[in-house]
Amino acid sequence: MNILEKIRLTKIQIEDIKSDINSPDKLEQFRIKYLGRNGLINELFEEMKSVDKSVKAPVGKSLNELKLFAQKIFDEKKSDFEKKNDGMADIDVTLPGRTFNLGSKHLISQALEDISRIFERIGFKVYEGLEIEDEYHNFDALNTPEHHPSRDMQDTFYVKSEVKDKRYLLRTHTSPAQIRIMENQPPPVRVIVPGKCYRNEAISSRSLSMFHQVEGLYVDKKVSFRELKGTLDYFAKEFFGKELKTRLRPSFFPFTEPSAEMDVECYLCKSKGCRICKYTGWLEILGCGMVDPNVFEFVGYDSEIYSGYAFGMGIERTLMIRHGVPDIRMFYENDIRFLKQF
Amino acid sequence: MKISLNWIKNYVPELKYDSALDLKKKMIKIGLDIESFESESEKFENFVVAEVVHKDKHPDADKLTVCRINTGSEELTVICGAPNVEKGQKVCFAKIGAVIPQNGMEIKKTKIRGVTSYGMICAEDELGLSNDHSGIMILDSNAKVGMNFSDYIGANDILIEIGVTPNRGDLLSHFGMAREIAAATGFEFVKPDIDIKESQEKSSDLIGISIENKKYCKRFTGRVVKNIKINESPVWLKKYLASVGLRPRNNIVDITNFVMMETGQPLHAFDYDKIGGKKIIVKLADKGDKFITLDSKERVLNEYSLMVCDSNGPSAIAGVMGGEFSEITDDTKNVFIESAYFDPVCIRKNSKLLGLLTDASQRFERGVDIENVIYASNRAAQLMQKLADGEVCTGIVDAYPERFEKLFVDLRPEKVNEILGKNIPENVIIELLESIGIKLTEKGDKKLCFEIPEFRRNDLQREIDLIEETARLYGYDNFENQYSFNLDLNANVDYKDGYLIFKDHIKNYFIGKGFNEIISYSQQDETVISDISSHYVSIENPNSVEMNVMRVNLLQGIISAMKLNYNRSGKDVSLKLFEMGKVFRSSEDGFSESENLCFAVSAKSDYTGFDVKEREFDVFDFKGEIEQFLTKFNLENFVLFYYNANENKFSDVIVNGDTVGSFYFIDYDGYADKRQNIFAAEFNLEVLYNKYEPDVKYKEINKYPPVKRDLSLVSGESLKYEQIDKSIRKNAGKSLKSIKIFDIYKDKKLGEDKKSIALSLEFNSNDKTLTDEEVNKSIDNIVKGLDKELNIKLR
Repeated sequence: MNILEKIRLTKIQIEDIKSDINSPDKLEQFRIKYLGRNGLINELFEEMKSVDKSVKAPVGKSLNELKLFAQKIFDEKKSDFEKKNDGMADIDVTLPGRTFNLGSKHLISQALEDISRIFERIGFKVYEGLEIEDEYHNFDALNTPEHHPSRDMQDTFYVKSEVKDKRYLLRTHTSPAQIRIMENQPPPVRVIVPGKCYRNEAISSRSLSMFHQVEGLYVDKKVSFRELKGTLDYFAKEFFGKELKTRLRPSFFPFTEPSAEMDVECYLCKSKGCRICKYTGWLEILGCGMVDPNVFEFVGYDSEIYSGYAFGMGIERTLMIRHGVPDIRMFYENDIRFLKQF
Repeated sequence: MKISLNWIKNYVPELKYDSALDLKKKMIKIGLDIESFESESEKFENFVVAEVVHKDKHPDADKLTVCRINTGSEELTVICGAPNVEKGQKVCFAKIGAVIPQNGMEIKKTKIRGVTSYGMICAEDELGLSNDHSGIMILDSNAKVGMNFSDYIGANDILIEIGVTPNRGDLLSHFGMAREIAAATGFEFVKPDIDIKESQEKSSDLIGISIENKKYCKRFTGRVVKNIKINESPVWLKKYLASVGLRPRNNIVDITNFVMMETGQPLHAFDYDKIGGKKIIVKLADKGDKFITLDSKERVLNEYSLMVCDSNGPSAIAGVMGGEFSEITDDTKNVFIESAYFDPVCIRKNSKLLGLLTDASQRFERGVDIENVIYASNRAAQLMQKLADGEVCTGIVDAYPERFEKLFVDLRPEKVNEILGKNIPENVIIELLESIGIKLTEKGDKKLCFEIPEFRRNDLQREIDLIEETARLYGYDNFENQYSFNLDLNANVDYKDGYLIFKDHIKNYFIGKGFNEIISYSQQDETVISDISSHYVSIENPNSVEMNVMRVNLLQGIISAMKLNYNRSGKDVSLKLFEMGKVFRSSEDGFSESENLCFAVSAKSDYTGFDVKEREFDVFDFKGEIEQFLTKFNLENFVLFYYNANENKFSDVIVNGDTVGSFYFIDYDGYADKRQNIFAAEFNLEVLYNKYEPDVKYKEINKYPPVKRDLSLVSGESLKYEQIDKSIRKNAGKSLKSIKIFDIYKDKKLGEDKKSIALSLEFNSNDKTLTDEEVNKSIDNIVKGLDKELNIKLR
């Protein structure tokens, strides 16, 4: 058998046993047999030294090809095993991974942001008002009569102050921001005000002395009640669900006329009637109305030229219903087992 | 306000509706805030009049009987436990499916000791009619078998409770509600006619009235009814009063209450014979005077206590409550009826100061109808004649110093359309407003003039008020939603946009870093805050001593939250919390609010895994958080200024020479008395924002390979790393990019008071690959410098 024949047979042999190399041990055997110092291929190289010069070139070429072929198979198999192996064969991959604490945004922050985003999409800009307000901005300029019950000490927290002629309080709603904005800017105005408010309420599972509200205001020429309805319907569909209907019911606030409460179909029972919606199919979500001309007078807007709407919604009550939170105090207790759920 | 629909029907005689639900919907639509709606006939659904046709002892229970009941449509077996059940009785029978009013239990088919019972024979208490449970309720023997029990007892009323907003005092009456219901359903409201036979005697000969305080008493009328017979009221009157939650007393008192609930005008009946001098004087009390009201309580009067007096002194607190001395008793023969108008503000303040809220004060403080005063007095007199055989004296003594002007309001249909966004025809507007008694008096070219009825004087004074009424009566549902969001840049409010985005980024950054956002109360305990600052804001009327001042920082809230979690979740908890919110300071010229950020870690490190060794957070975990936070927001040129063992404050954070925040190190008694550390930092967000440069410029990325060299150094034990760092950077030249510490240890082998520090230095150049020689030269300089400046040797 001449050397070329041997090279050809060796190649066939390698091809045959290729599929049997299924473990690192067998690969090592393969390496020793063919590619080792005393392996078959090296033996052939030795043998080549003694062939006739005339055939040396083609033999050398074939032999090099054979070596590369064997080497390639070895490399491929080796990398296969390494991939499979990579230490993983010894590892219990079912063990849990290493972790850091999972961060969370407070449920109220999430809601304030979500609501602000919805209104930002339709041209509202966010503004933040003061939490310590004066009586003028919180009540007077919002057309609250001098003897209105909401001004009572039982309802409003007043703040001790050295300043004469001015009474300060913790804002009872985000509405004073309306006045601040309109004092600073001629119409048109379109704004959304998220923030904390305070009321002197007994602390219980249903009420607290601090809560969050989002206020909205839009004033321009010919802003109408129908736009108010459309805007809030759009908001409610974005926030609660597109399939839910809304309705307005007449109501009363000193700073809007006409005034309304807005209900959205109960998103828990899909308005079929349940314990939460008291079997009415509706949930009350916000108060709204057309800005009262008296408010415009306080800020120097001409109610003959301009009209506008305003709305305000409390956050906690809605979140309690939406997420089934049983006790309003949980929002400010800051138990991480509560915070991490949302 | 509770109303009875049967009562209402007296004033809307033609009222018809498809179902109770249909009526309820119409009432909601017109803006009546229905708090409860209870139909009596629904309550007694499945309760019928039945006859006991057979009675047997229960075969297996001594105290039970087995009865056969004829319900009119079938005969059923029922087990009864009552001692008084007998054959032939007419009884109230609850069929299967009936819900017992007493306890809400539904009647089902039940087997009791082998006998199946198909319903229940009811006792009065079970039906909610009385507290009697001595036996079953036995009905009139003529009662028709099979008739609905609700028809038998005449329980066909609908009782409705409606929330009344402060502007609608007129709705605190059945007249007011009837007007609304009439408008909501399209039927007519009719006031009952008054028909009195007056006696020869004149009221004005029997009583004199003078108003001393005309500011607070705008009208005071009186009339006398003689020879009345005090008695129990007739059933219909007692039922009406009970249905709105009033306890019947005697016919005279009941009549005044009935007229108040009917017309909204509070009345007061005095025992005429106890009025000293037969003279009424209305005047303010002296502050501090005492007076015994008819509930036998002594009241201390104030500067708003308007009193109805006689020649002997006060006999009633005007508009709030009568006095004990002059009240109607069983011996009363002659009655003086007061019907008056008192100033709403006066009554409100007085009632508040007295701490006495009554049905009368509630109505006066919202403003009653001054023109209705006479009608109410007549109505009471009419009823006293009818129900107490009283002789009504002729005429009413009417002290009415200054008549109210009639109120007219103009309305432009064009303005209606502008505000509401819908073209409502003029005739529709007129029709709607007239349906609630607002009369058109003049029709001009572009405006309509309406006369406001007296009972709406308080809330209908301007054009916008009539627009609101128009919208309400037209139906809010009938205004189509308009979705037009025209984006006008001029409508944008000029507010700190960049700052809002900055805050969003910070919030999201900390959440990404594994912190949980908290929101804590802004109101805190003065005893804690006063230690921190003297410029805090105090609440005048706190609702708890733990919440009597406004917070001056966020740190206290975070500490409380840390403690709460540590105590609740135990020693293995890992806590990483942050909060952003307002803090408050007081100053001579008012208050300042600024917004802070506080973040903190405590207890166990949050890096966990099956092979990670548990450990507590330490100061370097937290220092890393501060460093990374500041670098993330391009504030990498900060300096920490350390305090020497200064209580809680560990360091100030200084950016470009200004303090932007502080770094705290707090230890406290934790869970099971174990001492626990909190590492916290608080920043003023507005100051931080002013230092922050949002517009980042690109810095070229180095394309040449870095060269690393490790140095192992031995230094004095007390030497601070900061000095080593400074020396290396000074002597290394520009090509040194970073220094990493990979090992620090102490060993006696190093020599006394020595420590070893191993550093990895990275060199790179922006414009070429550094050669070994160049790097060696830098290393050389560094080593020499360390030796010379700090006596640090290579190991």
